[in-house]
Amino acid sequence: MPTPPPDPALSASLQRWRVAPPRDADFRTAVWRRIRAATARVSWPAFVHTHAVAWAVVTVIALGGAGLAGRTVARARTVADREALAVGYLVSLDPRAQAVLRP
Amino acid sequence: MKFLLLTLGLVAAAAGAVGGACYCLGGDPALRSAAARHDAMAWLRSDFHLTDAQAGAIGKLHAAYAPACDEHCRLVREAIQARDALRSARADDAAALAAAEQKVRELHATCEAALNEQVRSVAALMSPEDGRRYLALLLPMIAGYGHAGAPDLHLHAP
Repeated sequence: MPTPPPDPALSASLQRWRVAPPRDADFRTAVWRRIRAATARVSWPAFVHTHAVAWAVVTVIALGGAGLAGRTVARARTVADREALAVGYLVSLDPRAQAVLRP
Repeated sequence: MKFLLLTLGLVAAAAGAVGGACYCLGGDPALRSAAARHDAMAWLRSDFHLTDAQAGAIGKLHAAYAPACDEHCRLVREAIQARDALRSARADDAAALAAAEQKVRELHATCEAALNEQVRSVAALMSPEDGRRYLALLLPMIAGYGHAGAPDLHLHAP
């Protein structure tokens, strides 16, 4: 589409046009007030909802890892308890151990 | 930042609760209780599913074995003391020292055979499956005694 030729009258009007808005002394304060109000309106559920997928992944990994760790520690303790009981039991039956341990 | 910390805290608390629950549910309370009380018979009862009659019979078997165990213990201790006396005397009697060592070895073998027979008798009083588990646990420990050394005074295996 070809550009129309410049209108000298319009150009002159635009050159003479001046805007003189009234000065608003409270403008900056009002902007910050609105920003603070908007921030305060964000609730914890909204925060979590905003990052729902990330928090779901973090929660599943944390709970799964904790459950696995708890079960592993419990099984390790069961094995250790069983071994300690077996050793104590054998010591009570084994004269070789008794001969070493008795004063 | 406040919400981030709050959420992380809640996830950590939930993870702690789940971990604790899995720890409590994943263990064996009867075994834990027996270990805390150093109660070998309670352990045998729970771990090898003994009935009262089986536990009573095993208790009698152990009581009958105790005098022989004490006698073996005395003989082993005397043999070890005699051998150690020969060692510390630094006497040049290699033959006597070798004989003392041999006597300790023979007594250890006698004790091991008696103990093997004892645990096999105990296993025979259990159900076949539990008896197999009992022997699978104890026989290697009995056989490994001479190689691993005696347990310490807290009854920890070496």
